[in-house]
Amino acid sequence: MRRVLRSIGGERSGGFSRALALASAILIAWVTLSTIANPPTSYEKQGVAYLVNPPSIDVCSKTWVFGETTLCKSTLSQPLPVGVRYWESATAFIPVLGYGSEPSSPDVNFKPHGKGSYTGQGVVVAVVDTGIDYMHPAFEGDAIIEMWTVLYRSGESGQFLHWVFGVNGSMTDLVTLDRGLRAIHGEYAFMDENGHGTHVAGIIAGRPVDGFVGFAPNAKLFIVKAFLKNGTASMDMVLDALKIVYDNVERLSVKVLNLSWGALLNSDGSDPISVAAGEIAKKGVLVFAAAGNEGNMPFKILSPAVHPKVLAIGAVDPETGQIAPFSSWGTTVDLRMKPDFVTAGVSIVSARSNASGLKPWKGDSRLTYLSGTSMATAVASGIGAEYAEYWAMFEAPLGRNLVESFLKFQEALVTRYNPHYKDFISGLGVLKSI
Amino acid sequence: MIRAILVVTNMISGFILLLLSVVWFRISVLATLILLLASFDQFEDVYFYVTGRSVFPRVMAGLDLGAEILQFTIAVAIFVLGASYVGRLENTIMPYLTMLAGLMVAFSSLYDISMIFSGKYGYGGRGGVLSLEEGFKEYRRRTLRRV
Repeated sequence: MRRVLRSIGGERSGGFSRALALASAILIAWVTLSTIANPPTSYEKQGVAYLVNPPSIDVCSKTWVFGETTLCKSTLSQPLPVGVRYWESATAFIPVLGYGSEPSSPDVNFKPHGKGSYTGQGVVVAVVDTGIDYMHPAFEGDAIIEMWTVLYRSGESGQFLHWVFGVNGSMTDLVTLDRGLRAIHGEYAFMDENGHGTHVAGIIAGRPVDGFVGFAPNAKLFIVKAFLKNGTASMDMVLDALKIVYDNVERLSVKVLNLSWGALLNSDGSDPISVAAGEIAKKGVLVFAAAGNEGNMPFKILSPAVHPKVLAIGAVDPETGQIAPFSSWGTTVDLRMKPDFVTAGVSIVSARSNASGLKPWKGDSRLTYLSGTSMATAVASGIGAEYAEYWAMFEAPLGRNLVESFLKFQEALVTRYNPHYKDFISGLGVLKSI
Repeated sequence: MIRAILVVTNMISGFILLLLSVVWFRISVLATLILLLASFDQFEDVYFYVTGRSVFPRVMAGLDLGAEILQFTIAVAIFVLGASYVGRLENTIMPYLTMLAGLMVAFSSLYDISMIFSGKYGYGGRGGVLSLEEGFKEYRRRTLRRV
């Protein structure tokens, strides 16, 4: 021991100062690590917080039950017990993640197009977004099976307003209802005034329009409108929408869920939105969520994409093969490798909502182009829907799980950017259409 | 000149390892301790190249070697990451810088490994051996004499 101390201190003078410096360095490291490991968690100010599995249900002003998990909105008048994690509502005005960007060349655009062998036949894809232009030719026939909205509740049952085509009335009835609500309250119940939801739905399951067709044109859409016409939603609205999907997974046999939005909560996947999306994934649904448009910077993965069971999707430019400059990089704050995959997300041409102000593509008012990890997520969902058809034919009879089977398939066939390990820029690589 | 390069590369790799150790704390305390040790080892190497004295006693040479091997593995991962994204990012410099960082860390770890076997723990005289060739010659000579 004396020898060790002598070697640290050196043989000449200054041994004590060196030991002091070493002790200080250890102390600083210890304080830094302790702060990172144990962030303050007691709620010391009044306000609104969201909690997962609260210690007492009495603190909740609203709850969402996802199986054994309870999510709680708490209007706090007194401090929470120390150790209870919470998320403030102020951080949760959640945006959709697509924006108009001129294609670099007017003739080169990514046409969402599956290979054609599998078209999503018999697969139901849930889309939580800004609604849909249900009169668009890309969704003619039986493309949409049900539409729900969290913006309005039925006066009689108190349930969220929903519309089942062929059950609740004709298209004229729907339009009358929607326009009436818009005239009184300023927001359509189902129609997409923003344009994001229609574009995303078109990429996934759009029927052919002027040579453009979605990845899974025979899939059916389960639309849940959770976002206002300005493209934002509160935490409540998003949780309501996810609860609707959760409750209808079995009834509608939902196999894919598209979440082209997110909030930067610096979460490790334990925030309420991520937990809710994760609970849906646990039911065997392929849940795709946008990694984020926060730029090529680390630790920028949004919720719910941060959840371990939710597949985070980043964007690449299909023209150049480069990672899109807006695409968020991982890792998550708890250092898990995200995004999981990347796929085309720059200048994607798809359906344009007639109620939106989006710029028509080459003068065609039925089509428009958008860029973002939203679009990449929709491409991933389309690929997921194609795969779900294949899975139902060949994998499900063998008792294999859809999510595990999809991951195994993609891990084997993705175009890898990093050939040696899953990294925080492109994850496993570019998703492969089946 | 070589001494200056070694000080710089060891400092950089020390900071990279320190950063990694901090961010790994939430996942694994054990990994943090290992990375912290590897980081400390880099700063210890800086001290060695500046003063010619080692902080570690001779009995801890094995631990020093383990930390250097860990550092080399991390260096390879950093290099692979950079090489994978050449031409894949809008920022063309970043992948090359990442590769350069990987090479620096790898060089630093390899040189330090050579020092462990040559002069660092008194085999070749205190701080006297700063050449790979001489170090290995000395190591071989002493090993053969022992045999």
